[in-house]
Amino acid sequence: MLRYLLVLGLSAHDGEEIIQESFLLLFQHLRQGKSRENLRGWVFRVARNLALKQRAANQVHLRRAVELNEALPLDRNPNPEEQLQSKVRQRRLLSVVRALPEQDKSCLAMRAEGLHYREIAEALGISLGSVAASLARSLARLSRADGG
Amino acid sequence: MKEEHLHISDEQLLLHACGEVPASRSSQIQVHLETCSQCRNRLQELQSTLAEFGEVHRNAWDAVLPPVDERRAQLRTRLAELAEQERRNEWFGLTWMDVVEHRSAAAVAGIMIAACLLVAIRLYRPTEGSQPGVSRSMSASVGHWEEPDLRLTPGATVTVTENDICNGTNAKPEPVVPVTLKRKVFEEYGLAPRPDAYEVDYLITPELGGATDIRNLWPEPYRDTVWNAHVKDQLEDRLHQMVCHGDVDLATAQHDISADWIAAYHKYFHVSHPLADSSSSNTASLTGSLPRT
Repeated sequence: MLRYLLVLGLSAHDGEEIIQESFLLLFQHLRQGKSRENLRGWVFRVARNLALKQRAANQVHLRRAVELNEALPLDRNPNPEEQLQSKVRQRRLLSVVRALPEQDKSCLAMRAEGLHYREIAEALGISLGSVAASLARSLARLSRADGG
Repeated sequence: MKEEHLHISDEQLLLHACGEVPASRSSQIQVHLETCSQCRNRLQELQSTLAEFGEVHRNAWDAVLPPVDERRAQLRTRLAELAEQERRNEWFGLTWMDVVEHRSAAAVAGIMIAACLLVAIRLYRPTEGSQPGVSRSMSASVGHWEEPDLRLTPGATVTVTENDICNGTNAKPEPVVPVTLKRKVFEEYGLAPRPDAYEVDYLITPELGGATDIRNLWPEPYRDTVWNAHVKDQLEDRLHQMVCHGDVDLATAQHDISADWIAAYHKYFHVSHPLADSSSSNTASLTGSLPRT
């Protein structure tokens, strides 16, 4: 969830605070005997709402995410040439994601986090069809960027 | 037209792959995939792009994630505190029910007397600084803090002059209260965090030199009370204007708003009730955007 909040442009510190807040709200939600259906979607939705509010307040927008992306470390690949290629590719894919509209970026990041379509739909308040259409658009862009 | 020529859209392929299409449509897609290598390849391509992106995404962000253990421990503590708080509330609830169930006349009489005494004390207590008939701060007893507890929130200021405040250098939007500080304010007032119901508000607004300091912040109801955050905003604007027009000096404005903002409202607006019905307005409420569960 923190990775997703970072994708939305929050600082790690704000992201951590929002996660704490979201889980406290989840706790209260459960204690009040409310619906237990699609809880992962629910908690992502609450976190997203808090994050968007916080982001608007901070006026951070995506700058921080861009800065972090640009400072990405090399992965643990032993071969320097492959390591460089891998990093270049990583940056290329991430720069495609950065340029996506907010909703597409959210769909893709949540799917990458293993959320099911139903959970993403709940978190974003959109239909299953919209989630699939958004993912299809983003994947097409990623494939193009990857020379696929 | 042959089935093979009606290729499946990317959306349908994705939904099919994760079992989100109705069974009848799913079997049609399955039949098509068995005969159409183009769609099979496309599905594979979509899935592998997604898997590769997932890996890139995790590697990239994991490298900048802070360690989680401390935060996890902190969350556990907060949850335990919240559970304890709720348990205590439940205990009080049960005691009341118990009394009613057993029709314990003595206990009921005792409680009635205590309640009457409380009402009497409220009725006969002199209402300093307020006008007759104005009900104020009553809701503090049921957990709404129209006015802050001055022991916790006496107000705090930064060093500013009328010039700073009125010349635009301070005329920025209110500084955002950090989430951690907000939480401390809720804790201090013994409230579970309810960003939907309370604004963690400045007692002395930054427009009048108020500091972002726990001594200057309290959880003010958005709308559950007559004297709510929206009404206080009116007073803040009014005092800022008056200070800038030289009608009131800054120190007096800071003192009046921090000593008793409702009394200050009466004083500067010359009215006994809030000017407009601000209790129904609902700016910055989170509830509206929460899922309907």
